[in-house]
Amino acid sequence: MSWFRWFHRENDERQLRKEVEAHLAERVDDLREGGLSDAEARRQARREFGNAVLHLEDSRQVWHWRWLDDMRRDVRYSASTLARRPGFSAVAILTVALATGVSTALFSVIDAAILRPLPFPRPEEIVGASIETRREGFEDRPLHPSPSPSDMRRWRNAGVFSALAAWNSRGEGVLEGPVPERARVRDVSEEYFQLHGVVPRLGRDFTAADTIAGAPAVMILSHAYWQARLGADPDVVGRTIRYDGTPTQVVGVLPAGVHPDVTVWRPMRVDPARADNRGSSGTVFGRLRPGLHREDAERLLSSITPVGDARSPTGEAQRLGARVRLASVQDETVATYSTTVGILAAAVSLIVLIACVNLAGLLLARGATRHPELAIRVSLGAGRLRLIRQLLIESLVICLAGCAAGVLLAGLSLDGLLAILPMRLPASAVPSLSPGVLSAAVGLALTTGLVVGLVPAVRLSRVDLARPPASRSGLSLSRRAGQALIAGEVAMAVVLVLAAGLMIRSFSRLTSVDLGFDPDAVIAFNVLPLEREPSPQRRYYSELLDAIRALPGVGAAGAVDYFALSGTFAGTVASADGRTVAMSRRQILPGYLEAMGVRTRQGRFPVPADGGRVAVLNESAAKALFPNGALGQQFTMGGPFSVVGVVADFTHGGPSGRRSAEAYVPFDPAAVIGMTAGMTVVVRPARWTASLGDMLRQTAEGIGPRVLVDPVRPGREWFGDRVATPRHRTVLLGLLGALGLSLTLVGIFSVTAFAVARRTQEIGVRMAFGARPGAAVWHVVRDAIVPVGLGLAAGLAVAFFATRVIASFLFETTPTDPVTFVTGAVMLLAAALLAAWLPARRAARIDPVVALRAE
Amino acid sequence: MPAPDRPDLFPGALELMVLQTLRLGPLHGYALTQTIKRTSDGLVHVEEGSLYPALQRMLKAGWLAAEWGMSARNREVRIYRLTPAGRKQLEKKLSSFERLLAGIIKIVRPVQS
Repeated sequence: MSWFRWFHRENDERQLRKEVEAHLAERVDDLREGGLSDAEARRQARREFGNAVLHLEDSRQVWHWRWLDDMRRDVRYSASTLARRPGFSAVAILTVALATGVSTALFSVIDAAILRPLPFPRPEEIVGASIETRREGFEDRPLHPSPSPSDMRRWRNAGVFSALAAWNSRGEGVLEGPVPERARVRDVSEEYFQLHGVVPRLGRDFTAADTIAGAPAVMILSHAYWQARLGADPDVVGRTIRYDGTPTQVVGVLPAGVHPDVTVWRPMRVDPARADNRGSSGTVFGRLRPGLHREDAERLLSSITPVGDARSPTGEAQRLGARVRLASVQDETVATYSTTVGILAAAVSLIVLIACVNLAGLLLARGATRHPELAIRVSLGAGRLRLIRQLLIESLVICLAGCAAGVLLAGLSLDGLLAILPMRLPASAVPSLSPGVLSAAVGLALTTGLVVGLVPAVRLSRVDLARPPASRSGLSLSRRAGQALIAGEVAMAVVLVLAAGLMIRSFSRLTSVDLGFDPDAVIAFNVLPLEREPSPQRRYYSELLDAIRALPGVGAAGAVDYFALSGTFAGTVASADGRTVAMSRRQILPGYLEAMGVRTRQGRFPVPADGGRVAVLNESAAKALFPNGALGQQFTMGGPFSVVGVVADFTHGGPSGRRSAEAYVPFDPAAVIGMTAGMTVVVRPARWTASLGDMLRQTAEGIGPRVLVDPVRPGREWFGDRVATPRHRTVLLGLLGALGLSLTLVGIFSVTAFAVARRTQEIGVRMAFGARPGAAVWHVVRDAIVPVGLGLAAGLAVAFFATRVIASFLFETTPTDPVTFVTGAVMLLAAALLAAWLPARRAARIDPVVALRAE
Repeated sequence: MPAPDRPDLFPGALELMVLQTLRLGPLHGYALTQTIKRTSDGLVHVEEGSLYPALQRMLKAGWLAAEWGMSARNREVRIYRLTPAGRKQLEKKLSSFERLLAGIIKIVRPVQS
């Protein structure tokens, strides 16, 4: 038998069927001519022919492809069975689709975050190297200075690494290509790209010569920038582009996909005079030589690493030896995601389980209505295994259809889901529906179809022909089994709903924190003049603020280097009267405190006429520096300042930020600390107009010749950035909770609907004996409520312990928050009642006469 | 699956009867059963349940060929005819059948007399 033949099987089968029909018709004609009536002739012909189905199978068996053939027929038969029951099929397929959809999305995240977080060759060889030293008397508080250039030189010579490199993130600077724009920069040592197995696509890698202080400024550009801004110019190497005001020569272009978030790569500079200083090299990575154990390398490196560095002050406590620690970068990267991924996986597993329970309930419930069909198949000679196979194939068909829909769903929603993923994945680890992810999804669907389909299939195949189809109880979904399914589903849904509820409660607490100012009352945007000299900067900002204040609808306007809602600050120290206090310093242009709506406690806000040496302290700073009154006092913070005012504390860095000592001093471009974003202009509108944003932007662009203006955004959006991660967690867990709840409600609905159908006669009898319709409905609902109650109790007990895993994500909310538990339980109970009541209403409409006649 | 109760006296009898009947001319399935019934004066009744699988077997073995044609009642039917291979097979079967029959008769007759 050839494949060709098999493809013609359908044709063969049709021929055989046609042949048998002709046979029967001929016989009927003969019998009629012999004097039988039409109906009698037909009946006799059939009887004579015997078991037509079996003959067809016997005839076909000759062709040996029986098994494959049956399979094909089963699949076709299943598809048509499913098509005949669109309601059931839609619910079943949708159930599987939702479960597959979320799991596929989760698989893609696991695939990206856990399985291949580092897109480099042999990532397991890459280790982060750090030094651990302790001081006498402080043994419990080890120091971890970053290795000095001399340490790195020693380690390179030790021969344990095939490459050793350091890198420092330097934030963003302005890259003045065809259009000036902010660009993320990373400073790296030589061997950095070699360590990661990256070879520049154009030009060259950095060499040791590039890293010597005073060497010409060079950079390597990202592939994306080269493509998008430089038109993939093949002659770009050798060109000079200004970066942060410094003309910098392009020496190379990276291949696509290497740290896509970094645009500019510069050589890390080493000052030979400071080569022994620890603590300034940033992060040090090494690639261990193949076959070398981490512990052996640690021992070797520790033995050649000096205890202290050149700067260790003589007066300092004795250092107690240095240990070199090597940690797998891959493990550490994965560890940062493990909590979030673990929680997501747990939530998704619950949803998959709920979906499985749902599917099993649906299959069993539907099975009862199929008893006649199955009985006919048995009487036609179908064996039990044959029936089980048929039923299993049906559940597989459902699961595969659901899987296809789910993968489609995941594909469509993946970008949306990634946008609310509450963790930062490496820019190069982008979750996608890779072949691995897709095969995992199909594997899950097949497993689900087999495992979930098996019990119903075995039960349903136990067709007893001697028993009248009417007595179906025990055959498919018994009352007990239905109740057990409901209880299990509810218990799992409770955990999901409570986790979501806790996140929502925590988030609402987080967003209702009193910051000390109203984010809704301000709009803010970053402005950065490209001219970096102090005087044009100073001139630009004061002109800008004057112009803004002249705009219609503006109440107050000012500017600050580190905006309260930006999440950044410049930490320094201030001292006065022998006290030294950790201080966050914010440079402001007059009008900022007014625009923020900050309350004055003492004194006044600064004005332009004050000059550069005045300061406003917040209450925390005033109390810490001057317990006896701060007004008019002097303190030192990089220079002398006199206090002209004290303002109320307000929270920086968003609602989970801290209120600490703050000093507001006049803008001084020469004393800027690590500022690359420019100043943030803060405007408090007297009245809101739609065009204010555009006017602000035009004003900012119109004043200076060369200036970068970021989008103008309301304070609420800046606030939103600060709570993005908790919001994403809340939305994601909320979605998963809603999904679990909906699936459970569908489950309760379908099991109850089935119970009504199964008990039609019983209810009919009750009503015939005078039960009121309301009582009949209650009777059905009660059957659902008991397991809901049990499931609820079990779920609450589990949640009491399980919600602990999200404790670290909760803001001022305990993982067993009683309000959430009670609200969640009541809501779930109400929803479950509704889901049971809707189908139960049908019980009230049962006509006793019709119900009893059906017997 | 329960095996249908075959009317064969011995394995191959059905094939033998079909081949022999078709030697007289092509027939469709129903006509085959009727012809066999008539020829045997109603003593042999071919069950359809055995006939069609047997026909498929013989088609596959190449003893028969089939094509669609019209019955006497102008109905579309599949008409089977003997192939040369089938004819050869029939000869072989017939001679072995005759030997078998002769043997059986020798065994059965003394008891009867």
